[in-house]
Amino acid sequence: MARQLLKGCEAIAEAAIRGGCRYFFGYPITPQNDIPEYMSARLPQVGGVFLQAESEVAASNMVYGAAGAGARAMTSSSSPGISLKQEGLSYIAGAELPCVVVNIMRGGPGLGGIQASQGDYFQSTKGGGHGDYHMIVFAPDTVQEAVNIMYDAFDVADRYRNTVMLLADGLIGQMMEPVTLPEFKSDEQIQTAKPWAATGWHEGCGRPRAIINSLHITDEDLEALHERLQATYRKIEANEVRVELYNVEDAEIILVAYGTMSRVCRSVISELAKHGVKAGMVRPITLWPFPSQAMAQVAAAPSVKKFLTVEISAGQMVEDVRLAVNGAKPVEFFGFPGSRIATVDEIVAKVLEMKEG
Amino acid sequence: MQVDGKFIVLFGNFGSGKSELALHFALSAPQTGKTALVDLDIINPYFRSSDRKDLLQQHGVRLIAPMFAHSNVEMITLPPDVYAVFNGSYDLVVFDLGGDAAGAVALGQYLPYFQRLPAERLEVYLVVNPRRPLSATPEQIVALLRQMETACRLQATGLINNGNLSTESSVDDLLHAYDIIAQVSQETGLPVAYTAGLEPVIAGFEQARQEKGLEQRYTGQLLPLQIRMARDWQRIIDSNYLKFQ
Repeated sequence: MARQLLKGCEAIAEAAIRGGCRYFFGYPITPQNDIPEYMSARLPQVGGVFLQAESEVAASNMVYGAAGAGARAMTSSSSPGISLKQEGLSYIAGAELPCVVVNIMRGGPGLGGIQASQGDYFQSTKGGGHGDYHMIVFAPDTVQEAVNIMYDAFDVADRYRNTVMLLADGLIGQMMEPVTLPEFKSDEQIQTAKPWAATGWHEGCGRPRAIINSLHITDEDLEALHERLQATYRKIEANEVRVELYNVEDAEIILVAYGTMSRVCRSVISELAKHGVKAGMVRPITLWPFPSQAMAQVAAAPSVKKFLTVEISAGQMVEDVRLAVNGAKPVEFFGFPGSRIATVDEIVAKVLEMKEG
Repeated sequence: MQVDGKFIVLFGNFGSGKSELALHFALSAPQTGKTALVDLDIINPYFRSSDRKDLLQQHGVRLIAPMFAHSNVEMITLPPDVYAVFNGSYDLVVFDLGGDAAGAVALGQYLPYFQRLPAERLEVYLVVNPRRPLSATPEQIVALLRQMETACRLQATGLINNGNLSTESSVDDLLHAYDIIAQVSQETGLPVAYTAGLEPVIAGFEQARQEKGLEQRYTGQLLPLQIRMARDWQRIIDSNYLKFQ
């Protein structure tokens, strides 16, 4: 395929379709509106269904229904809308269903603002909805990486019967970059076997009745669900962690950042080199499961003196960095809540100050 | 109404490069304090020409933008002072519209004012970037043109070849767009007014124009651009801006 110039949201939508998405349920909110708009025009062309729900709560429950019937279904929204979707997401976890959710983050809390933010890290990685569950959370730093993640997102979701979330700040959703789109996955590739799906039971159909439900009547049933979920999470932790180590060899300062913030940090590393400071970066691509092992290995390197986590938040991922580093090296934070993106010069100044301290 | 100034209206598929061109036209004009840029983008929350407010002010360009542009709310409102640009006190007025027909519609209400302009003072350009998926073929571009003309109630007077892949732009992008835009020009009868691109890309295109004997009527005037819409987080890829084949 030839290179094209695509907006993040458009690219995410097209990659989802090429990866097998045939059902989209959503509700408008900035800065993710380009996703449902694109889906509304594009899905009917490939025999899919786009439906604008009456609310975000409804949209996430429609995904619940479609996923229960074995369809590759997704929804997308931006921060306040994702809060509204939590009911459906928790039920989907309780019913052990695969689906894909995109959150193009804006400022919060409440309606916050429409500019880009990374304030939803806690919400995405620590549950969001109630009840002790996890989503697999991917955080791309370029439009191309968002495409690659979306293209495989439904496969990952189906493999674990688990929700996959693509978590991107508004800039990733709104920026335009050259990308190469992958070919459409074949019907065989996207129609994975789902014997658990409620597709209509009849005598002699060769499977027990499929019951899609998140209410577990006895304590034992609920405990059994959690045992299955925890076993799934351990498998996901073993197989799905993705992380980029950038320039970490012999680095004395390690920056930790994801999404747009990691792009700023790449510039910071080049600037610091001019000051004679060797800095590297650990960029988590999966936020859950968190690349704790890679972080601990980097922390163990004798050259590494300090960590600096940089986010467009008051400091959320930094907690997971501290748990992973586990006291081996000091971990500091730099960033601003809301939508103010720390600049290259500000971060360079912070690192130089840390070096003196 | 006496109008001596020139009006340039830019419309096109979103991602075609309207804002970059709008900044170019406004900032290339003589600094007489008689230039205005009207940001009528009702589509994009980010990456709009009014992001470059300070730069425009430094050059004495009056920026007219929705009150809430680049703020934390999204309101599809149009600035009341747009009407001021029709009072005859500007030498150059550049209108930067939002993408697609949905963006072009914002201009429609000013039709009575445009109708009063002498035809030679109004230039309405369709900005074409065939590296964008919905304006990749001559058929798609003509369809888009008709939708946008209907939406904004103005007829295009020319085409601008702005074939590009952002940070990966090359001479090939402009040559690819040349073939497509030539077909659009033949079909619509619209002249190609400009071929625009980064300075080194335009230099390469100029050379290719001579070597391949490209027709002037399908290249128009060559317009070397500086990138003004880049953001701070792009500094890392700035070095790539100059890597052209």
